[in-house]
Amino acid sequence: MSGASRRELLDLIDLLCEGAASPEDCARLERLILSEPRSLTTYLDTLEIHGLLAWDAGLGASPLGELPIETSEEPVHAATAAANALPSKRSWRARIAAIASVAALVLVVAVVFMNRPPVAVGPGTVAQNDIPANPPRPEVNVALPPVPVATRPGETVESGVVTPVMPPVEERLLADYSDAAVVRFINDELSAGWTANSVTPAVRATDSQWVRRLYLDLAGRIPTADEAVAFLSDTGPTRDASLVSNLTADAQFSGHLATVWMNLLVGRSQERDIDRGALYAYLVGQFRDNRPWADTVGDLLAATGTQSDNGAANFLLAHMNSQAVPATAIASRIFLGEQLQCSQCHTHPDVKNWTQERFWELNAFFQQCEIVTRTQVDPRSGKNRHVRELVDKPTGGPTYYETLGGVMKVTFPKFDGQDVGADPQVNRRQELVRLLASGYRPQMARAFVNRMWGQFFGHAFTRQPDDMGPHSPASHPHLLDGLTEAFVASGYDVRRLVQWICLSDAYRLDSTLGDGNRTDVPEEGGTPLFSRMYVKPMTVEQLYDSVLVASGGRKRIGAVLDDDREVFVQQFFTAVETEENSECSTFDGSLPQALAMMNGPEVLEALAADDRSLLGRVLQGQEPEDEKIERLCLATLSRYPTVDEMTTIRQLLRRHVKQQTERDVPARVAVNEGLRDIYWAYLNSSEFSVNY
Amino acid sequence: MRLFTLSQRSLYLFILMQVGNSVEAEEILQEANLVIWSKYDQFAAGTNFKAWARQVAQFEILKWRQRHQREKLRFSDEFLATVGQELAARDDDIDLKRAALDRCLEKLKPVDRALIRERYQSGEHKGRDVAEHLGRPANSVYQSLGRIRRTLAECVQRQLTSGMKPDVKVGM
Repeated sequence: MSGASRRELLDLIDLLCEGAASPEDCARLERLILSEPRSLTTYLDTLEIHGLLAWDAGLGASPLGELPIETSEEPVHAATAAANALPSKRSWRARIAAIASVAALVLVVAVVFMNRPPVAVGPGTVAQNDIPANPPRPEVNVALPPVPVATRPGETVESGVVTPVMPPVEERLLADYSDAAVVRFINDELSAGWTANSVTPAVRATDSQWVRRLYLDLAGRIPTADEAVAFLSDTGPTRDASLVSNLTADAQFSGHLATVWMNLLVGRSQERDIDRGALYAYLVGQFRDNRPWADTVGDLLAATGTQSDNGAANFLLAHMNSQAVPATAIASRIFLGEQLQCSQCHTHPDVKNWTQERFWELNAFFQQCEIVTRTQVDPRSGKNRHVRELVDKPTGGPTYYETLGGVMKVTFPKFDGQDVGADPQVNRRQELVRLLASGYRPQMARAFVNRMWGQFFGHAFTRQPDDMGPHSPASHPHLLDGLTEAFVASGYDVRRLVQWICLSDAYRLDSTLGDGNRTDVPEEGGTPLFSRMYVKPMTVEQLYDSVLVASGGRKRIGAVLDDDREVFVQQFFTAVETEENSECSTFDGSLPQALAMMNGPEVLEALAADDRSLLGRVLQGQEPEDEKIERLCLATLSRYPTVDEMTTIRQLLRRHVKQQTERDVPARVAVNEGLRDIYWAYLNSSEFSVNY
Repeated sequence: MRLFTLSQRSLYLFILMQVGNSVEAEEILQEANLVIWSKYDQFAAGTNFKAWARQVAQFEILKWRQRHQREKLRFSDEFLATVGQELAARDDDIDLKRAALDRCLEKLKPVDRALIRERYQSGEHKGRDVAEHLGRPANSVYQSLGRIRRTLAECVQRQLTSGMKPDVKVGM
């Protein structure tokens, strides 16, 4: 190969590694590589190095290990290196205890500031008193790329369970199902509610609030400092719609939804004899491919196969004990939003036509379903293990049940007035799935919309998201029905539903309770008006992932269950073997949670100021102190510190440095200690662990 | 599970060398992971996990290429076949290479090391961003990074061959 060609080869490989190679460049590169073996070897060797560097960087581990940083100030450099040599864990705890008073003060300060209208320092923010009391509603700029309903190869949307159905024109609640129209519908319905109840909505949330809320609700974690800054400094008109669209297309969105749904379906404890990893992988696939929700429900209810063959089978495998009584109750609660467990023995106390028979009519659908258990020798470990398989037997016939008075009664599979009959050749579970998805606004869709709404707004349309019925009327029935209709018309498109919610005006409101909306307190039993964003505590998984993000590690969240996170989560949950197969949680602001945040291993790792952690990089950087504080605040609270916060922090820092230097601790070390304490205080503030 | 974690880096490189882009390689790796996880039972212990995992990854690469056919694919099928064949013949100890790379990084000039560090820290820090940050023209930064990568590649190669026993044939 000529010298010029060799030069060209090397240049083109460089462009490829930097993502700057045009299609013509790639074609030329390919020809050069294939022209002789030496070029191929060069290409492979270089890409290998590039890959090794990129891979380890992505895991947060700097490939550069314990290298001293290039600085021009030698004495400072030595002090920094000394400060970054991690002391033993025991002295860490002593130090944390010793400066608790400092941290506590900062904590108090931080909490106090949460309740005051912030005057934030930073680009693009406006002082609170500049915002008019009733901001004019900006035009909805909903420029969402079209999200097609994914189909499997060979399947058209019509051939699956789901057909996007729309009611005849005269029955429609919405004239138009386009994204802009649906968002407008939501906005109009809610503001009509505000007017009818003489309530003024809260002010718009700040950009920092909104971006943090969006990341938590869509990706299950807080944004990194870079992501927050990128959003805050973008002033383009499509900024918001783009972020919503990007986040819903991201792998972390499917991971987050899969986590939420897995917890709903089978809980968090690992004591049940199922394959959680397989169920999780199945759910991730469904959300990643944006499969119609009705298909997912269908897969889960009509599944056959073993725990590992068919991830979806694990739902029923977890609950088919006790003649499918838990399965009936849980399926009804999760997919239909209706609590039937009481009806197992008697009529519902409040809803007179939810009779005992209604429960057993639903239970009858599971009568053909059986679990077959085999023991197999596991090739990996050589031990015996259970293989549990869901099968359908072709049986038919009646389902017997007993009233409280001891009278034996009989019923057949029936749903929503449709009698499926006693024929053994009819597959009951498949029939159930078909019935669940029929109609323009089936309860299965209504329940999903209600639950999703609750997840994003902190409160559903009904008091509990899964206790719908005549005894618990929806706060906004027309909105719920209309949104359900649009959801069904879209083909049960989960991503679009989420996008409609996130682009609504109400999703953008601040969470403060003010004089104008003092009655909007659903947690005290009132009707929710959504005139403010209700505060949502973080879930265990969100907290874990957020601590990880705040500490600068970037784990590959998404495709498979994260072992480390499972370990963290397990400490708070235990399964209870009741007829409702429920769970006990100690993750509710309790002592275990507080301890985990104060000095659990994940937080301690975050505080280890080495090259791999965010704190380490901030402390080692050359920026002025104010910028470092800003960076720490952005990394944990996704916002710039307020003017008053900065003043207080600086005062605390100066005091700490003065105390330490009087004990002959070098100033630089003292400053770094102080910054580390501030970072710890931010992590432990209530502002951090709450999605407001 | 342990097999799985240990093989991630090697699988990632296997994919990267065929598709040429680190972000795409990551995506395809995720897809492959899903399949590996769900099909793990079908894999018979004692046989070659790495080979099986590579097969899965290869399939995912082909699926990915099929999905993205509309946009121009970076490399042709012929390229993929040639690279694939070559990769099958290469059976490297990735961990050994990783360790060698660490040593080689230490040997770099401080200014080169700093440039690599900036380029490869976590987050989106492609060559163009680094150039902007340093106020240098992009092409000049690409060339510097390329030169450093080649230096590292040569250094790693030397480390590995010098570490091998003298009676083993070293092909180059």
